[in-house]
Amino acid sequence: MADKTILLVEDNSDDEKLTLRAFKKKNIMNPVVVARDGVAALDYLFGTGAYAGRNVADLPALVLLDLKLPKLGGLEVLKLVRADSRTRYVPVVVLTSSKEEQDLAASYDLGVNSYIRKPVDFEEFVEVAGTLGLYWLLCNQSPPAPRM
Amino acid sequence: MTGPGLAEEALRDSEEKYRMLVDGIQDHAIFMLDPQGNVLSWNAGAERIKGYTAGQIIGRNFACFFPPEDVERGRPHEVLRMTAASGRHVEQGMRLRKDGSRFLADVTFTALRDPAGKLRGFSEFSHDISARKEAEAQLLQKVEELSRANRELGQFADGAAAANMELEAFAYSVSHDLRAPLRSLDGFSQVLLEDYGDKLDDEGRDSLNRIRAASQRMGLLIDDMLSLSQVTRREIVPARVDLSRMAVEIVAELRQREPQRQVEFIAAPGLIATTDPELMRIALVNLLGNAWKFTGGRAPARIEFGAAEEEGRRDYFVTDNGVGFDMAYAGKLFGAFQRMHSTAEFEGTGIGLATVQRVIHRLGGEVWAKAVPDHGATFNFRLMPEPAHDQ
Repeated sequence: MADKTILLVEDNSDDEKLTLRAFKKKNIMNPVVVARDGVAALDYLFGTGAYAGRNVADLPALVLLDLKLPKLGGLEVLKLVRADSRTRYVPVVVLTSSKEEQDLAASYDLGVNSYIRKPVDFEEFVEVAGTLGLYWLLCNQSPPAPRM
Repeated sequence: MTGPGLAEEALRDSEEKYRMLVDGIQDHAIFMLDPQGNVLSWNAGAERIKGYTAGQIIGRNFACFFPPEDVERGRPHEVLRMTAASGRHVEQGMRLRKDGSRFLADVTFTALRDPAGKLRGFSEFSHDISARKEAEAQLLQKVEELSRANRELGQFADGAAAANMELEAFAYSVSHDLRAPLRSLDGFSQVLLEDYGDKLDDEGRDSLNRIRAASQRMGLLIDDMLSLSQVTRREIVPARVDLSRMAVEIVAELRQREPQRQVEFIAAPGLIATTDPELMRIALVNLLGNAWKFTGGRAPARIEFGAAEEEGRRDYFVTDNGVGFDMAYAGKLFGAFQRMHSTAEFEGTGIGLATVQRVIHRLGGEVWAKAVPDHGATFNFRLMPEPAHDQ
């Protein structure tokens, strides 16, 4: 699984840098693709726009999805990902600031695999990132390859 | 004025009966006019309403009942003409009493004709509706006032709904946007400590650690503010709640978090109330959490949850043998961000009791406290009275 990609959907460059650092500290060496808005995330997943021609069957091992994003919000991205047979099963973990009930409920309604609130304490965040990597990249059995 | 004698006889006879019938009637003026409008008969009600005795008015023209301006434009004549033409005429109009004062009257004129169809006179049936009109006007005014109050209430409700939506949007934005910079402050301070720690002296490292501590503390403050606002925003869904069991669960969680603490906890069993379980839990978590925190230095620490029944009311209490507080500051106790102790003495953001108060108020109850410095504190609360069948 170490060669499988992680898609990090994050518009805040600080959070991006800290997330990458946390992965490194926890020895998560998977390549990370960063999408800085919802549209870029969908372009990667569906092989459109800047990612035209990408092999869509090569799903990321994990999508880390922020909710508050430019252009297209995280919940809308999640909805479209779950609605498409090619990406329906890709593991999506919401990684966001909010623990508002409305966000939690909406995320689970739309079929998110997990919902993590980014802690302020960086050391805690490193632990969370490590646990995420360990669970989704090592423990979890990936879904079968999508039928095109 | 000639006609068949028989008819004339009948009319006289009818007038006689009519007089007998109506004479005693007090609240309606009932009288007859000849075809020119001269008064032919007069009853007790007419005397009472218009102020003339029969002797004073019989033979006089009914035009004297109209205000001068109506007489001037020929209204009395017009009324008789219309009545003669249609057989019956009903109107509401101003009338004069003998003393010149005016009143609003409801008047019915009926044309009286002999069998040959010749007009023999008129009957007038009237009563004073000033009082009724006054009552109607008052009623109308009340209705107007009520609908204005309703409109104001509607505007108030709209305002409240708008304020609530604003609060919602604000909380959402706080939740998302205010925490992100704190993560950067904490995270990059940690990056500096990890990557450049060896290039800093103790003071430099201490400064970074202080930045981290402050960021984390502000994170806590934001979280507490949000839970305070959530208490205001959340919908109340009442259910049967076993407060005793809830208190035991909460203390068990506290024990799990700090297993080294020796705390004696007593909960009175079977305290059941109909209230919102989620909000109730928030209140109890804060009250028991406080008791837990402020008995920190006590050996043994003692916390009790119970209730006292008095005059059909139930007052719950959470009491402890902790550090207590000075009652001189009791007024500030439930204010947001008010603290009785320094952060160095006891951790906290000063939102717990504000949250408790907001919860208990939303549940229709009250909360109050008493304490002695160094001898513990007791927090009491009361919920909305239960329906009788629920007791």
